[in-house]
Formats: sequence, structure tokens, C-alpha cells
Amino acid sequence: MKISFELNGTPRSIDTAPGQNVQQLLQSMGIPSVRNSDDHTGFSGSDTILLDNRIVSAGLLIAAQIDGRAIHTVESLSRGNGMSAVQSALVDAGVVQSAYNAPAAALIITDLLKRIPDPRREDIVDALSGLYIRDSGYQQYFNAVELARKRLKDPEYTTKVSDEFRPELRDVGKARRKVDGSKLVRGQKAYVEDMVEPGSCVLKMLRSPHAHAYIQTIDVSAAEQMPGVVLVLTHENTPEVYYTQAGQGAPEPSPHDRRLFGRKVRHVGDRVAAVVAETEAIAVAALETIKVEYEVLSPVFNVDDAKASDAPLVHNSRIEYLSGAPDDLEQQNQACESRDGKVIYPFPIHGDPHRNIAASVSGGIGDVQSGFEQADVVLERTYNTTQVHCTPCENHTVYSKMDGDRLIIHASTQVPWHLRRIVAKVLGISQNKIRVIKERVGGGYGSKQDILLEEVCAFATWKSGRPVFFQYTREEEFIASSTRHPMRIGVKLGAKQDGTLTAVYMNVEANTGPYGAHCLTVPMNACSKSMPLFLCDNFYFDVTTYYSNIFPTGAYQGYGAPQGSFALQTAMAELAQTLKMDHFELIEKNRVRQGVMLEILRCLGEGREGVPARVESCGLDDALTLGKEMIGYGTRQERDDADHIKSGQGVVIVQQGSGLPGLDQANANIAMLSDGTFMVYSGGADLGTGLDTLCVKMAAETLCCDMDCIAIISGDTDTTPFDTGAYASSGTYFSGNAALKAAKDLKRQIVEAAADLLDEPAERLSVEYPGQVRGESGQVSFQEIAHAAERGDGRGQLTGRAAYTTEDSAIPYGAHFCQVAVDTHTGRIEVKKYYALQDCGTPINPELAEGQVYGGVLKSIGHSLWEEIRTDAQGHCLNPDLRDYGVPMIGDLPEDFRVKLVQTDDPFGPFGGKSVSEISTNGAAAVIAIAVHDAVGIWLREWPFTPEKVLRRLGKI
Amino acid sequence: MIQTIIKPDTASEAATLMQKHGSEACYFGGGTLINNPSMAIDCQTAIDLSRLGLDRIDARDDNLRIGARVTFQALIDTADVPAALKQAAASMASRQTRNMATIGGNVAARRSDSYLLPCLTALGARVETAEKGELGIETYLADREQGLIMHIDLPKTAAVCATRRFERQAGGPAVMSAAVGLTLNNGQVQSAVVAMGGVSPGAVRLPQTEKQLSDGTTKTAEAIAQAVAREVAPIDDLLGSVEFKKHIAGVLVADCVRACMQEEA
Repeated sequence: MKISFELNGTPRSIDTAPGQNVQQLLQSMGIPSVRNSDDHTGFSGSDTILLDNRIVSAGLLIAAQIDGRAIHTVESLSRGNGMSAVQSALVDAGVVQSAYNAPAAALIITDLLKRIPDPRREDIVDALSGLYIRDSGYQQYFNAVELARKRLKDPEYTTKVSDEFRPELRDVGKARRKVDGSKLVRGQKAYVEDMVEPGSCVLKMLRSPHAHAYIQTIDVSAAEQMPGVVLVLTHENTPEVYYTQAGQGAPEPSPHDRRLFGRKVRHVGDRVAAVVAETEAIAVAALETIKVEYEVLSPVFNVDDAKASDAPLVHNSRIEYLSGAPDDLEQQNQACESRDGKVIYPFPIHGDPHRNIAASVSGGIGDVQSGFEQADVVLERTYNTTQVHCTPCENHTVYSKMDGDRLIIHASTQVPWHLRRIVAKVLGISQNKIRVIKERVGGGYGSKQDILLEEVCAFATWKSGRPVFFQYTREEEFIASSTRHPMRIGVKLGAKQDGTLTAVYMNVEANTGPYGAHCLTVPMNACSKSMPLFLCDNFYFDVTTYYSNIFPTGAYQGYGAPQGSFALQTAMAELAQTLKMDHFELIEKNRVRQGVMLEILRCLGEGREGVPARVESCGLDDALTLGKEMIGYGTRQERDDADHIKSGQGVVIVQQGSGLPGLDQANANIAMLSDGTFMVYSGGADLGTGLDTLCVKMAAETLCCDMDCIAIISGDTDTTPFDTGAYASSGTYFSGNAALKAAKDLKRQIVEAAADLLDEPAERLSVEYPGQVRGESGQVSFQEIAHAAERGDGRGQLTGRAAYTTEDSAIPYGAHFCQVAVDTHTGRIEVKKYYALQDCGTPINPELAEGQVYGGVLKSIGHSLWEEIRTDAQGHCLNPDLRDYGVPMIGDLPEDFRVKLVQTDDPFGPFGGKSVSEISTNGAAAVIAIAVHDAVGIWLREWPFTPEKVLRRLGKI
Repeated sequence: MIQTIIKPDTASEAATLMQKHGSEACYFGGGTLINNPSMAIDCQTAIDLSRLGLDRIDARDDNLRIGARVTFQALIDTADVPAALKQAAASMASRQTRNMATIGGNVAARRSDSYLLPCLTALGARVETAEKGELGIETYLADREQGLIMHIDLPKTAAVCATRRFERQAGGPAVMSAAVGLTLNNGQVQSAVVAMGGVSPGAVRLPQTEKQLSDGTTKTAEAIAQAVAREVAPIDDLLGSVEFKKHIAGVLVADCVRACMQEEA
């Protein structure tokens, strides 16, 4: 049918099917900002538009509904390269991070302020009620609206949006406009899906309906004969190359236990076949013609099933080692099944797949047995965590194409170089044939550290020569992505009557699911990011990770620490109760402090021997003191208990790391341009966290110039230098330090060049703001220096280069306080107050850091109270959508939610900075459980803490 | 997927079109259910109701007449709409969806987790259809072949109404929902309507509990909760066990009764 409508003020007339989805229609008309992140179910708001001046979801509209009506998208809000008042307020408030839904937010808030020029908090909550934000956790939107409200009246209005740090520095420690903020909030092309060229093919995946089965036969002949089908991939025509999807430094501590397509499927949703076709509709139709006969096997879903003596084996595979093979390997392989393929360990991690054990490790310091014997009190408890999901706004997406004989991969990834390495291995080609371009990432949180779809798309392009686009549906996100490993964690604590710990033991049993990505390092992190928070002479841990047939697990912000923290911090609170001691005092008596030596780290290396480290900076003194005062810890008179509403408070301490010293490496180059401005080439992978902005600040601060004089390109394997990637909280510490080191190298060269021009010794010169070098005889500008360097007789373009590696640790710490209200009638837990006090050294981008803490805390509140992947007895997902899964929305915010950055000055961090985002997921489960106990006297030892579980523990049902 | 869309000018034309196209056709209001792939609604021919003038709310002498195409947000924004119905409409958390979803669509869908049906039942709503004229809402819900909804009429009565919906989180699926309509005289219940959502398609009345409320044999919150738990029959599913849902249903109804009493006072 022919429809006519107005699009951003311009009359448009098109021929379209009446049932054409309007989100897709608008994208096809060159409006990239109207996105789809919920399979058009109207939940997440990525597809928000104004229809006749009311906000609606374009994904819930069909073309016939817009005939004769007026549509406005975010593209209507600004002109030229400028931002509207609302857009600039969003950027300045720090909420434009991964930004997939930032254009929708701009449109919604513009609509709000038109309807209600002076909105109340509840008006803001109502306006944003249909917008899903995962990165910055909603709280700063209240600041953004306030800033926008004032800026609409006074375009020059500005205010302080966060605390500022390091007054002696110009940009570090201050809120500055994120370098990609304007581009993202205006909805410009930035993400992988925006790079897809007309005529590209689409890849769709046929996925297993069984949790555990052999593929007996597979017939793809009908699909191959369909017009428009380019390629069909199965285990019969793809290479038998084994790899891990974990994007970790090589050799990976994860087993290579999967291939592109296997003869065995190991979870519901596992790959069976892929169709590459001219259109999505053809690909979907072709999938339906593929005939598969399965030999269905009994599945295992939990640790107890997996460890049973007669358990079905998830990998009855041939086991191989690239190094360190055990002497009895041939004997181990005698009963293996060829259809299971192989499990190849790069080095031993004490796995035994023929007992469903993917990895195991034990270690400790001192003598725990003796420690328990010395104790006045010994407490043993067990805690369980369920499988939860990263749920980034942007689904996993990749677009690959050929450029001559080279493969170009546009990726939404945290690890461009690991991605290139793994794709090269799977395709059997050299790395110089591959270019990975990390586009803007619409949310990663760990799940984009894993190579979940890029290698199959790359193979399809390499084999067909065609450009191929592959984007997960939201359902695929739930059944074929990375999730938090479910764990059962036993904790045993020994203590003297005065609270002094004498022994700490943790027994972690983790469920890695069908494949072993991160199977050693995530469960181990449950110990290594929780035990060193306490000082004790005797520590020991056992970690065992089991294969099963649940949905895949992998990296997720926190990386095992949230589970370990939940167990150990809650156990400490239970110990305090047993000792009849205040929990806060017990923490103070045993906690880590600045200057102590962490001997425990000796046994906590990631697949290698660890290194003890001295705690060079620790902000727990201030965090605990300040947090206690802020929340009125222990002062029950402030609480307003109704008959059936009971209030309680809790406190926990948390830590993470800053990258992986001894394992990670980051590189950066900075070139001086002809006019004395600069270009930074960083290997760092900015996930929306502001890493690019941070690197620009490193350069601006060092080179004494405005941030506007520095542009940056990052995360492109062709044009920027190597970086291990954005994971393990490495961005600030590694990529930031690389940029800082490169800036210092360039600064040295600038001074040397200026010395020639001024005819003075370099040691007498100083670099000054704004962009000049001063000597005793005068000064010379950066422009003059650049011009001289590039002359026919010049020294050549000045370029600073740096590779950053270290063995030094910069450990971030934090204290989380919360107050809950438990409704004893319904079992519902409401988080009334949540205060996260974080020590991230010098907060380089304070407003962005605060946002990431808000986001991390809200994710972990979600995991603690609502989020959970549910399956039936056969392993099918019962809630593969955001709403039923239970992600937090703005209406779920704690009433009083605060982040306080507690500054320390770390000697190794760039300008004293340490990591910030990941750590903030580690506190909520424990502190809520502790507060619930304070309120109603029950201990919740399994997340999520559902109303039904609370009522059962209260004896109400 | 919708292949054809027809925009009739009159209700009778719409009804004729429905007869003509039969099971492949659907009445089309805001589209939030029909266009939502997760609903898996097979509709080839959409009969669009946008030209029928059903998007008005009229306060009349004896009732409030709400057009079938009135959106949830319009219910919230219109002063004449009873507070309980505003609250029920506001429980649809997303403003984007509230700007699209219609009262007629929500009633016609007869969903067990309907945002509006328990409240409309407690308010004694009547449904005017193109084919059969005016029906009580329970009569309408009892038969899927009742035809095109034109209006929802809310009678002006002395009854007070309260509604509650229990979700684990904002915008999440409802575990149970309840609405209670009471005719009161100096704190004494003269008549009661108790309607539950989350049990089976549409809203479910609890006649035993209503009787106990009306004859004064059940007064305390605990007794009301027990009566409800005895009578309501939810199923065990993703949202909770039968035992849990019965408990929540009791809490919700008791809370509604308390709210009604407070309103009268």
C-alpha cells in the first residue's frame, strides 16, 4: 500500500506492505537511531519515536498505522553538528555511556519537558518507565533532566554534575564531555548494525531443541536449493578446529572444547546449522527445511547431577594437551566417543572431562586445620547462586565482508585482538588477512569478551566471499550467550571470641555449562577477589568446575567475585551473629589495610603462580567511616517500621583488580599533527565506559593542551597497536597507562625538537599550557614545532609510542551500605537506601565512574532480587525475554541511591587512577542478605531472594 | 503478519467485514498485542477501528462512557475516570505502551494478567458491542464470540473500589492481581465484588468471599486472606507456586478491602 506521513517535518510517501514493522521501515529510510533490542515486544524503548507528539514504540507499530501521521525521531532534535539542550545535558550528566538507548532517552526527556516544564521525580520515573538502561543504572537521569530543564531556559547554564578531584590538574578528575558523546546521543551511525551495506547477506542459526544429543543425520539439501540461499553450514562442511570462545590471553586457561559446528549438541540452543541468504526472510524459511535426526541423550543440569558416578558425560571426548600432558592420557582416552570430538587443554588445569570436571584448583597459605583448631568458634555455611545474564541493550552483532583478499570484521567486542587471533585459527589463515574494527559497543559487561558469533560469520564470508550480517535475537541472547556461572560455595570460618579470624576456607563448586570458557578463572575469582579482603594467617580454597547442559556461561562483570563475595561477606555477618558481635566491628577487626602485604595472592594467579602484593592504596578507612555516618548505621530510631514492614541495614566491603599484572599488555601511539594538535592511536576497547575520553585526558594533561586538541581512534587491529582488550577491569590501568606513557614519550620528543628551535638545552625547557614550550630565551608553539619537524629538513613527524606492562597491582576497594524494607505479608524486599562508596584511586572521569557504579550496583540488585534464567526439565528456557527474565527498570531504583567516590592516590595507576566499574557488582547480594537478616532475622543463602523464598523462610507459607 | 488493512467508517461495516473475512481477520486498535511477535496472533486482515470515533471519554448522566480505542494513558489523564481504573491503567509500566494500548484491546484479549479486567469487573463495567448491544462485562468475557467492542460503560454507583497488582518488580509480569468493589453503609458491607487476575483468562470472581464480606462473617484482614486463599485456584508456574499465589491473593484482597473502608471513612 502507499502511505504518506511526515518524518521529522518532511512529507514522505512510500509503497510498503501494510504489516511492515515501523522500526525496520524507519531504519531502511536512513534513520539509524530507532533500534531494536527486544524483538519488537515493546519492552526496552530502543525504538522510541514520537507519533503525533506522543512517545510510542516503533517496533509495536505497523506501516498502516503511520499513514497520515507525523513522526519525529531523535534526528529532529538538533541541527548541524550541535546538540539540543536535552542532548547536551545527557552527555554532561554522564549517562551517555554505551548509549544504545541514548537517542531514545533524548527524545523521551524532550517530550517530558514539553509536557511538564518542571517535572517532579515521579514524572521523570513515569517518562522513563519504558526505557531499559543497563550501563549507568538510571540514577543520573534525574541530574540530566534537571540540567536540561535549566538549559532550556538558559542555553549557557552549567553546573557541577559530580564531585571533582585533583584540583592541581586541568582535566583529570573533572567531568568533561565524553569524546563520543555527541555522536552517540544524536543517534549517528556508530554501531555494527549501522555499517551493514545494502545487498549484504543475513546469517540465521538453526539451534538445538535438545540439551544433550548427537546429530545422527542432517539434510540441508532443500535449504541449499532455495533461491536466495548462499550457503548452509553444518559440521559436515566446516573445519574440525577446536577452540575456546573465551577472549583471554593466549595460551588460554580455558579448554579448547568446541568447533564451529559439532556432531554433538550440548545445550538447548547449541548450533546445529547456519543459513546465509540474500534476505532474512529467506534465511528463516530455509532453516525450516533442514531435517535433523537426533540421538537424544540424558542431560545433566547441576553440579550434583554432573558429579554422580553414573552421570552422562557432556564431553566424552578425546583429551589432548598442548603442553604438560599427564602420563596416563592414552588410558584416559580409551573409552572416549569420536562423535564428542576433542577437549584440548593448552596447559593442565586439573580437568577431567570424563568425570564432567572441566577444571579444578586448590591452594592456600598457612595451615587452615591448625587455624580451625585454634578457633573459639567455627562456622560453616553454604551459599548458592543461580545463572544470570549480562543483557546488554545491544544484542550480539557482527558484520563481515571481504576487501580484496582480506577479511574485514565489524565487531561489537571487548577484545579485537583476541577476536582476530581466534578467527585466524578457526579459518586457518594468517592474521594479516584479517582486520577487526571495534565499533561502538552498546553494552558488553563481559559477554562481549567472548567470541560468540564472530567466527561463524567470518567463516561464512571467507567461504562465500559475500558480506554477511549476523545479529542475535533477544531470545538467542538468553540461550546462546555468556552468563554468570551458577555456584555452590561452602564457607568455613574460624575465629577467636574477640573476632580475630584464625582460618578461612572456601569450597567453590561451579557449573560451567556445555563448554569451558573461563571455567578455571571465573570460579577461582570467587576466591581471589574475596579472600584478600580479610587478613588471616590461614587460608585455603578448593575450586571444582563441572560441565553440564545448561546454557553457556562465561565472563560477566565481576567475573566470579559477586558469587564469592556473596558467600564470604554473608558468612562473616553470620559469624558476627554467632560471636554476638557487631558486624561492622568484625569487618574492622579483620579487614585489609593500606600497606599490608597480601601473601594470599601467591596462590591466586590466573593459571600461573601468583605474586604477593603490597596494598599501595586502600580507601576502606574513609569509605567505611563515611558510609556509616551517611546511612546512620545502627541507629534504628531513623527507621519507620509499619506493622508488617520491617527495616534492616547491612554493610559489606568489596574489591576487584585493575587488569591482570604480568598477563595484560596495552599499547598506544600519539602523533603530533601539522598544526600542533594530536591524534591518539589506542589499542584499548572503549565499551562506552569512557576509555577513549580517559586516554585523551592522559594526553591533554601530559601535553598541556585542551582535550579538544586531541582526537582518538581505538580498537582497530589495522590502525591501532595491540591491546589485550577491555576485561578484568584493565581499561584505566593498562590502556590508560599506555596512553600516558606514549604522551610522556611524545612530550620528550617535543622538548628535544623545541631545544633545537630555541637553541637551548632541553633540560632548561618546560612544556606549558596551552601547547607551547618555554625556555629562557622565549617560547615556541606546538604548531611551530610540528611545522619544523615536517619540513624537508625536519626530524620527521613526532610520534610517541608506548607498550605498557607491569607486575604491580592497583586494587580498587569499596564499602557498600544498604537499608531494606521487608514486607512480611508479601515477602517483597525493597531496597530503600543503597550507598556505594568506591575507592578507584583518582577518579579520572568522575561522572562516568559514578554512572558505572550505579549501573553495576543496580545489575547486582537485579541479580539478588529478580533476575533468573528459568528452564523446564528438558533445559528449555521459559523466560527468554527481558521482562520475564526480570531486568531492573527505573521504577526499581532504591529510593535513596548514592555513589561516593573516595579518592586515594595509587602510585602505579595513571594519575593515581584504578579501575571502577566491575567492582561495583560485588556487594549487593551480600549486603541485601545481611540487611534482610537485620530486618526479619532470616538468612537468605540463595539468590535471587524472591518473595516466595522470603515467605517460606518466615514460615508464612 | 498483517497482509491487508481495512478502515471501515461505521461499526456495522466493521462487523460485516469481520463476518466476511472470518478467522483470518482481527479488529485492530492500538496494535500492541497484535503487532507483538511474542503474542503469536495470526491476523492476515486487520479491521482498523480508527474511523469509528471510539477514542472519546464521555461523562453521562448515569455512566461514564469510554470508547474502545481510548488508550491507557488517556484513562490516566482524564479527570472523570475512577481512581481505581487510573491506578490499574498505570500498572502498565511503559509510557510508550500506555500511549498505544487501548481499553478495548485489553478487554477483548481476556488475558489472565490483564491490567484492567479485575478492576472493570469490580466497577461493574458494561460492554457495548456492535453486534449484541450492551452486556455485563462478565457476560462479555464468558464468550469469545461477542463481537466488536464499541464502548465500556462504568455505571455511577455508590460503591467504592480498590485494586492491587503484585509484581516482583516494576513492569514485571503480575503474579496475581485483585480488585474489590464494596457498597458500604457506615463501615458495613452491603454488597461486595471480588475479582482476581492471574488465575485464568479474564477475571475471576470469588463468590464465597464476596458472600462472607457481605454478610459480615469475614471482617479481619487475616480472615479475608484465608477466605480468598481457600477459594482462589491459581496454577503453579514460573511466577510462583500455588501456595504462594494463594497467599498473595489473600493479602491483595485484604488490602483492597482496607483501602475501600478507608475511602468510605
